[in-house]
Amino acid sequence: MLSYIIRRLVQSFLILLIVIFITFSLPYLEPHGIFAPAYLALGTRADPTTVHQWAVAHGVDHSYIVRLWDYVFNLFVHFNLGYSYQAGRPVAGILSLYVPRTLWLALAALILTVLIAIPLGVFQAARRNTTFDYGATGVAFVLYAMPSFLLCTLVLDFFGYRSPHLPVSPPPGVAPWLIFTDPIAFVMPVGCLTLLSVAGISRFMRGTVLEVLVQDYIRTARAKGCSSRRVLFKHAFRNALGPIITILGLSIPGLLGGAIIIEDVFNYGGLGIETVNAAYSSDVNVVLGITLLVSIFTLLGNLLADVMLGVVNPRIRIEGRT
Amino acid sequence: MQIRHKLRLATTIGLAAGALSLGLVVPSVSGATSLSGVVTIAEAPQAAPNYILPFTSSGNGFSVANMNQFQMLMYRPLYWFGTPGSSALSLPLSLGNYPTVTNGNRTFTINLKGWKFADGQTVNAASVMFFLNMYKAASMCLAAGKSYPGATACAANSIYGGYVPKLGIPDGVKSATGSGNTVTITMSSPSNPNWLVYNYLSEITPFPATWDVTSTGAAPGSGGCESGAFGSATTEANCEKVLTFLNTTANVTKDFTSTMWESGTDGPWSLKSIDALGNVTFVPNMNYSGPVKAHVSEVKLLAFTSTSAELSALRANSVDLGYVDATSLTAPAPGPGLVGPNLPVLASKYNLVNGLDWSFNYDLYNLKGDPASAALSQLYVRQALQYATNQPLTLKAVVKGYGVPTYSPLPYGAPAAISGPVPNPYPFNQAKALSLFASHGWKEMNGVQTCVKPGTAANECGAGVKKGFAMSLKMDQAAGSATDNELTAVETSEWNNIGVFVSINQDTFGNVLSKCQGAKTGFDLCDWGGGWIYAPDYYPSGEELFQTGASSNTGGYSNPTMDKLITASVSGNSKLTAYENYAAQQLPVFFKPNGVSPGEVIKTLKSLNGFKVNPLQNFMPEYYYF
Repeated sequence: MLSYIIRRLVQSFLILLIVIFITFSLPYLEPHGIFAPAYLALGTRADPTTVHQWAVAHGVDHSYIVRLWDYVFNLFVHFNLGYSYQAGRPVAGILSLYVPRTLWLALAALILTVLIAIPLGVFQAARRNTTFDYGATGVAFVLYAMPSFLLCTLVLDFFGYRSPHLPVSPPPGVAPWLIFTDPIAFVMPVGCLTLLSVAGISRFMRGTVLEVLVQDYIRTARAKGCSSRRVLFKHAFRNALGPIITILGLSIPGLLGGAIIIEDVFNYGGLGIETVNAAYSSDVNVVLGITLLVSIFTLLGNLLADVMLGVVNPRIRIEGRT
Repeated sequence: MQIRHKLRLATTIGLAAGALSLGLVVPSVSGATSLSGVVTIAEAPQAAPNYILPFTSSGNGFSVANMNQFQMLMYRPLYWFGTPGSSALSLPLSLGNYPTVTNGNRTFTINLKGWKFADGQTVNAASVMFFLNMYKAASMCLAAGKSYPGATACAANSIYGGYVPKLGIPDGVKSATGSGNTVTITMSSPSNPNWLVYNYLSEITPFPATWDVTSTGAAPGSGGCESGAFGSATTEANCEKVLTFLNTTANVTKDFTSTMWESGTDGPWSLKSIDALGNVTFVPNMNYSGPVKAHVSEVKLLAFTSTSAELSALRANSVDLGYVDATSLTAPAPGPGLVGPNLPVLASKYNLVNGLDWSFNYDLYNLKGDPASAALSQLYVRQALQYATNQPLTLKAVVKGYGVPTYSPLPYGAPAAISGPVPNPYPFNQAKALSLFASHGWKEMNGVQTCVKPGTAANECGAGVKKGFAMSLKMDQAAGSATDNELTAVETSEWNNIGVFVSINQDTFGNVLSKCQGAKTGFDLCDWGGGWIYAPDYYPSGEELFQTGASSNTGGYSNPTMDKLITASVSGNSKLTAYENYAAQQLPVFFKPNGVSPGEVIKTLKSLNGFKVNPLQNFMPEYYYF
């Protein structure tokens, strides 16, 4: 397993380098991209001399190769992600502000999603074609089809403006642990994020369990006299977990950037909003930093999912060696 | 964030208008009670303050959020413009008396009132000289092209954002001295007093000696910037070091409540707390020397991600002052500066109020040598484009009438003291627009105006316009401002009706600006999304915009008569009437409707007393009371 993890880490690092190369290169496709950050920083009143001085002072006028080398060198040697000319502070400072805030919000929603969606999917499969199954399926379809902004608006309208009153947004403050000190204020944002995920995951879980339940070994287990509960949880559930683990692993990068609408509607400044704003204002270093971070999370999520699959299903590890 | 709003945040101070008059406003508060209550104000979306030194550069957040709605609550400028309901100069709220002008409009003598900083220092001539020395040093440094690797000081983004090369303060200053409470500034050439006060003296914020340091805890004045001779090499070197140090801490929000920054407080509010998201709490400065002291015990500014989030906060009644998007309102405004019906869900709790920008909106003509430049250089072509546009109808369609038509560079509502009225020379008339083309040798071919009679005679296309040239133009436009993009869409569709077609190439703000300022060809029109806002230089004169060779004359417009009128308006004593009227007639740019920016001007107000729209968008909570 250790060699497997090391091999995957090396692969991930190479992929990361490719991501850095591509994302760093994209702004160069802009015909006027070189001096655009200077105009962004200096505004409409900047004359060409001033713009040029700014560009020289900030190394913007260097060649592509020099800038790429500087970026990679600073990244891996000094762990320096550069400077945001829009925000006027280091990119690392921006990430350290927003990442924990979004992470806790999304992690809380992910945990709730797992706790709700997996049992829900299993029970729907176990009681397929019953009133409960039809009802849960209907609700899931409605939630799945509903745009997040609509769900947020409805939740806000019902729980924020009508009785019972819940806070319409988390309290002001930068502390990432606000979610623990004032959990009531996070009920609506976390709830919305959870509802949006529960629909898809529960449907997927239901389908996977149903597939497993018609397998020969399940029939054999039943023929041997296993109880329905034992068949469901001991045999079917464990074998159905594989695809779900993969899905959850892939959803880890979404922890960082997937809550844009929620952050916007509930006034919770986080990484999602920051990503959109940075892209909007051509704040290239911030976009690069966030892309890098999401890439790392994606790679780690995949790795984690693969490792977990190995834990759940030893055959994967064995086959991997051969 | 909308581009128009972003443009303001990134480049200029956004100002709402109303009347900017030369008359003095005596502040008054009626019905005020004791110091009590907490006022909660919503900041404009994505407009959190992040820089505290009132020597703010374009690269360090030269914005309404940082200056008018954060720094100015603590640090007062030498001359204060903008009170609730007025944008006038308020001498009672200013640190100095109105300057005495002598020596043929060359020498300006300013007497300070001797107010106190929070730590007891007197706001005196030395405080003003400190700012002037730093400004001059930054200018000298910039002119010399110096830059230090890894440091922002002396780089282009360290100079005050209102800096205009070779004009006014500091470049136009011959000498500046200070003694006691008197500062004497001598300009190199005669300067219109209004122009100097409005554009330059208003930008000065006196600094305390405690900021004249190069390290934390150093002795006040040890930096040598405050006491140095104006413009000397030694002063420049000292001031650069001081500015370098101040810059390193001026954007670290956790340091904003430090003793050093607190010591410079001479305004009615003192900073209690701020976080990196921009949530701010002010408490009254009990040592404030000026009139109109605080009436509430605390002021909270809350950061918001969007107008929809602000609307939620308003609906939940969790802010006293907030913003709504004009496009979300249910019915149009009855006229410029007026308000229509409030949102029904807010009507019971809040009033709807409105302000207007101290700005004008335009699209740029490329007159620098592009293939279409020859046609766009013809006045009749520009007149035809202007005739073809129905601005009031456009505003109604796009922003529910919350905006003003633009017919000249003069902001809407400018008072007679600055300029006489500027009538619209080209009211909407598509038939007239068509006849202008027809009478100058153009014919619609396949629906597009095409030059069929080249030449310079009165009935021909004009100098440089080749036979067969068709009015199919290319516009570079900053994407992201829904309001501005829609205004432009309406404008270009109206042009279609007279046979002028525009293909729009959208790009980011930085790219559009880079192209329009840097390139001579490749675009015929340019729309970066915000026109021009007169701030922090409030005087709506044209020396930066339309004078031949001016730094912001991006389209390359050149007209000797215009140059003369501009020069007369900034160096003599004349009003701006002649210049503004001439610009309205000559159309150096395409004047387009000036719609309010979503989330910027339209506000709703709970039952809080003392609030009126501040035309310059200054937060002045010392006027509020419950």
